[in-house]
Amino acid sequence: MASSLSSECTPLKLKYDACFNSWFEGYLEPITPSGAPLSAAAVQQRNKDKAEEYDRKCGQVWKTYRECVQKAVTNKNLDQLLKEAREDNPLKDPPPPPGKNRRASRDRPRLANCTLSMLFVMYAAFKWSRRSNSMLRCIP
Amino acid sequence: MVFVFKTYNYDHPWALVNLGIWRKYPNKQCAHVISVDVLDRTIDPKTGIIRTERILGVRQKAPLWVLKLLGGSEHAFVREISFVDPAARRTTLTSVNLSLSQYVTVLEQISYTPSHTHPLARTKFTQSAEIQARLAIWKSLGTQLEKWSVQRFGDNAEKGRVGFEDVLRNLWNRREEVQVQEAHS
Repeated sequence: MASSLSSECTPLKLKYDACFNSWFEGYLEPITPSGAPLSAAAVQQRNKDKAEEYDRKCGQVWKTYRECVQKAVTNKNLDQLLKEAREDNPLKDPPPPPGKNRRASRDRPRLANCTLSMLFVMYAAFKWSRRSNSMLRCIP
Repeated sequence: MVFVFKTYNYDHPWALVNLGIWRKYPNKQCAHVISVDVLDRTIDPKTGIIRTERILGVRQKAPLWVLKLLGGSEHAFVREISFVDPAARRTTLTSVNLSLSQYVTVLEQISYTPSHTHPLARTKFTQSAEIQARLAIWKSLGTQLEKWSVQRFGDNAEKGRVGFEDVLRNLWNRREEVQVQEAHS
């Protein structure tokens, strides 16, 4: 497993990763005695049990590891960048599967951005050409 | 904006691929990834969806002159959000660069789903990336250009002023001379 961004946190990180990985093993392949798929109610119960099991087993090491990483993130001046990234893309829910035409609404601000930057370049070029003119004439 | 799109099939079941996601680094093939940290992780007790926010430290391969020009460093960081949805059997990873994000953002989306043809044995991987230069890059270049233009204009204006003053002084001196000569005659 890869190391942490701060060597100080690496031992805690390895401990936490090991805990999570062992919990995650088998999470996606629930085994039933008969081999039949779980009923909806059984799935719900299992999700709840597994979430509790994770807290019970990994909660403590997660807490200490997280404290360490958060300090390291602050020391590396990443707080602001992370804050901005979280505002730009909160990603609280899984992205929709492809083919759902989710582009359309997101393209408008980008188009505006593109138009704005082109206008800016044209404006800069215009200002520049006027300045060069007056320089040629050598008049203050 | 630039789009990149790729698909691939892994000859492994979806559940195994998911185990691999958390064990991918360190990896000789991806030596540019130096560190991986979990910043946040929640497990929804109702849906079973695991949401993980990670920060990856990478050694970036951008040309040195780009880093110098834009003020970046060799070490960059990437934020990655992943969702493992056991009911939909779909895993998605979205990652965006944190470093130099004011100039260019590279938004990568990866998904792993059981393959349509062999759902129990194979996993379909899709990857798309949007590479977008931000408005700030124009602004930054524009500001640089403006600063330079103002400087050049100032220098030239100063030369112009000095030159014009010489002309005026000469004119003035010559007039004085003429007046003196007239007075003597």
